[in-house]
Amino acid sequence: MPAKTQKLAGADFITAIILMALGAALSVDALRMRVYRTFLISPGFFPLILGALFIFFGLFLIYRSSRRGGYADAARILTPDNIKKSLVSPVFKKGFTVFLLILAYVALLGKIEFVYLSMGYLILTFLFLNAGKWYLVIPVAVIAPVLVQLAFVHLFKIPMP
Amino acid sequence: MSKKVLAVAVLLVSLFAFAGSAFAADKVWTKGAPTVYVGFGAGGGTDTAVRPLIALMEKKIGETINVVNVPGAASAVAAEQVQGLAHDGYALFATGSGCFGGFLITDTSKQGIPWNWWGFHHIQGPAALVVNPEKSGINTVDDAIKALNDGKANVGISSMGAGIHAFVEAFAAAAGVKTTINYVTSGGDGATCVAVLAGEIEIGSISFSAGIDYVKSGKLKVLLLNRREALKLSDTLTLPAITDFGAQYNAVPDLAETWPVMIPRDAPKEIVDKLTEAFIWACEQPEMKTFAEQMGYQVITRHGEEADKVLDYQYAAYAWVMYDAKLAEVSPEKFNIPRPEAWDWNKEKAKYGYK
Amino acid sequence: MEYFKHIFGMFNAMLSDPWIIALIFGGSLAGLLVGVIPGLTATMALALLINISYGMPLERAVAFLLSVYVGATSGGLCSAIMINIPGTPAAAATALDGFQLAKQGKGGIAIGTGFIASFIGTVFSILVMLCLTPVLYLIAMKFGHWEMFLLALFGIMICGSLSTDKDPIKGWIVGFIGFAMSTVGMEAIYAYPRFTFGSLQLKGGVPLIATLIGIFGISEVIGVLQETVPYKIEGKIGRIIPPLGMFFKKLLPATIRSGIIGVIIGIIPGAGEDVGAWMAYDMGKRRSKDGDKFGTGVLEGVVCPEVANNAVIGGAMIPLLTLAIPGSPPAAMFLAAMNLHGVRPGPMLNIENPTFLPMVGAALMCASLAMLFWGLLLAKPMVGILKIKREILLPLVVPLTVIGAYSGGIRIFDVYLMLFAGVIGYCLRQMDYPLAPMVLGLILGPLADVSFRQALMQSRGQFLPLLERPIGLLLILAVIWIVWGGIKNARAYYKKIDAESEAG
Repeated sequence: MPAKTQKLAGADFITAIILMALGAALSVDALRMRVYRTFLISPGFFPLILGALFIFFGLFLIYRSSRRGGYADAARILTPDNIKKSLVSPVFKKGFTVFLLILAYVALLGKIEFVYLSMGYLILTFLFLNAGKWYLVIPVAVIAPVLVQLAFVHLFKIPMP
Repeated sequence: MSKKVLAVAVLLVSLFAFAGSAFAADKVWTKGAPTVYVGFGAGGGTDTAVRPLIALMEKKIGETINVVNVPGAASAVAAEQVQGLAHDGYALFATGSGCFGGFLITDTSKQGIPWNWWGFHHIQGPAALVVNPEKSGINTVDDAIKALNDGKANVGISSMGAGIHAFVEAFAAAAGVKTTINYVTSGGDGATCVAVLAGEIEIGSISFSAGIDYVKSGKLKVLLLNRREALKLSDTLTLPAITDFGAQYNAVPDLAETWPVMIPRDAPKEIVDKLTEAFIWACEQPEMKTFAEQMGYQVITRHGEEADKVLDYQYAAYAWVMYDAKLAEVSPEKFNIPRPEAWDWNKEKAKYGYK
Repeated sequence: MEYFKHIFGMFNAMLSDPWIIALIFGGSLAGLLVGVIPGLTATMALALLINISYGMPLERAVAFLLSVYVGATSGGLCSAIMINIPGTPAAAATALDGFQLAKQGKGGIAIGTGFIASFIGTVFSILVMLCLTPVLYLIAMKFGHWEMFLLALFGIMICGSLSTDKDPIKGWIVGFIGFAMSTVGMEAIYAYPRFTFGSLQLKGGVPLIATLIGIFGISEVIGVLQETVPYKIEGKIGRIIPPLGMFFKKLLPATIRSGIIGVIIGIIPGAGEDVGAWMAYDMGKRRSKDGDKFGTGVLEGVVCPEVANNAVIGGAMIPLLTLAIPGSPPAAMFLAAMNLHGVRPGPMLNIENPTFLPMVGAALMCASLAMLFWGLLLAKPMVGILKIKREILLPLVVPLTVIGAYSGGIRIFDVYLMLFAGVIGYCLRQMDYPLAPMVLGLILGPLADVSFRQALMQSRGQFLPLLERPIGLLLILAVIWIVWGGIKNARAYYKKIDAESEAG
């Protein structure tokens, strides 16, 4: 699968840069943490080691992906055209909608009663995914949240959001 | 799914829902079960200490009381959470009394301060210094002081800033130890005991209840207990109190830790009254007495103004010990917390609304 | 002799009390369900049930709580195999081969074998516990702070190199990111807030359960549902119980090996079911004849982690009963429950309560039988769930993940974090990064961080005394060995695909 290899070479290159930035941020912040008695036992010690490790891994990934054409591939991935193309691909659109539905569900949590919110979420998601005939999926979407609520409140004694 | 199955499911669901809402009359908590937010992890010292109390109070009231563990930031996360919820008597908080001192000066909780709660303190336990003479060569209090002065002994504590840490600092100051003490934290008093037993650490400072079995079985030796009189454990074993070793140790504050269940001070009076009644009943039960004896605790049944008074003193004492040990950058002075020597209940009690 | 009489006496007592039998069957079923639902764990279930057990006599409480513990530890394998979302962190390794088997239409036998493996693992660990407790607890005392740190490092390194068969370096990166995530919040030595950006919620740290279900659950939901036609599982259910001849011939060595690993990991305080499962999977992959097929759907890949994560149970009881130091988080809950009942595990247990260890053994044995019964009984209906269209099944998982995340800390913030973790998990999947090391990193991070610094406290900032510790030295060599093997594998992998791409 040559195409995939190349794509991941570019992705590796981009990850490496993010990883190094993360490592640098971690290290800088770790060095600014309070020092008790000696640095070796202070809160910043472990994050500093991790920061250094991330920078090391980042350098390693850059080296490896460069040898496999990573830089050119990363540049190709990041062109506006390519980004646009991935954003309008049907797979991305579908995944993004599924995500938005979950996002809306989570955002409304605590504002609408859990049972009704879950019913609404499930109905919308089933309809969007074309999951089945409406007279089959809607009862499922109605009963499932009620059962979940009952199980959690009465069996597991967990208060609802 | 066939229509029959569907119908049965709907019927079952509505039955359940009905059953749940049917018995609401004559309850302390009419809207559902209350929840106690324990500020430490499940199975830890605080959790273990408060669960018997909650279970007995549950029994007396006859309603379920949920317990959830919300660990983090020495219980400040749980304190803020409970204070942030409605003060309707459905959210309670449980922690160790040593934690309050750090809330303001480490900027972890502004709402969790002692006078925002009513507290129910059922038991207390002293701190102890323990050693394993075989591995460490330390046999007496004098040996320990010498080892500390020579910088040869590591002192094991569960975590920095905890009550037992404060105790070591106060003990060392009274004993005239000049060398800075090297601490090794272990995460829990039980783990400290094992580390002392294995010879990894020379001296352990623990909440006595965690080590009582090691002491009974002769594996660990108690150098002293932070209390004012010796404790007779059995016919052959009496453990010395810190004040047995000289008058200089009277300066060590008596910081016996408690593990209170707390409710926001402005919660409905009916609920607080019911809780108080159940609390007193729970402390009188033989189960509580047995539990306390086995764990090396003492049942104290402390609530109301008495509880506020003791907690406020501990609050001040812990805050200053933490600050003096450089565990907090902000001085307790900034929050008008008096040094324990200067602490006076008559000056402090106005905060709690007493005249 | 007296001791064995106690054991048989306890068995008799348990089996003659119908209440106990009911509690064992009820408890293990409840535990199984808890394990199946992503986000509910054995620890949480025990915490919720402690108060209920307080009103029971001691024998019943022990039987009830241990049944829940055994059930919940085993139940995680179902969701790992069926929907590729491990119900508990301990089942993450099971998902590697289990889910592949399910996709090939062998879900039934995978689940059945998983339950049998869990049963054998539990029984093996009980036998070890009953016979060797007085000797084995010494292992727990040999592990100081330095050894704990190395063990955490070792755990994350093997998980990193195993969860992806292609490029172990990616696994390690993800594992260390898990370590980094675990540093968020108040650290455990000085209560100093790290990377909290002034948020009180973050001071409590990154919640494990919410992250686990976000990373595995939400990312799986989005990843599968975005496909134009999500995968389907066809085929007959087939047999649930593997042919016994095959089981003994092919799987026995793996079973014994994994049982021993599980027990030892259980004895070591701080390392729990998850570490045991990964280590056993690692050893399985290295030692088995079919080692190179691990990850593509072999039964041995289900047996190793499932035997081990259940064998941790008996192992974890050993330091709990002798030193009052729990070997795993659910064991800590069990300890708390026993304290409530006035039983103080620890050095005095054998003197004050000589029948307690036999009681635990008998209860665990009955619990594992009940677990096996429910597991095999429910395996067929569970496999039926596999056949439900993913478009219906996976959206139904979402409300469960939401409550699972919420119930960990009773705060909505955890649910937001779960969603965020889900997005991270999704991105990592897209780039061929494994997810399991991140969760294990989050679990082991605090152990690594704190133990490392505690070891340095003890040695007063010197590294040399640490290198003189024999067990530590062994662990260092083991870590080096893993790194060396991983680098070799990664080089071989890239050589192969580069050759392929040149050829193509």
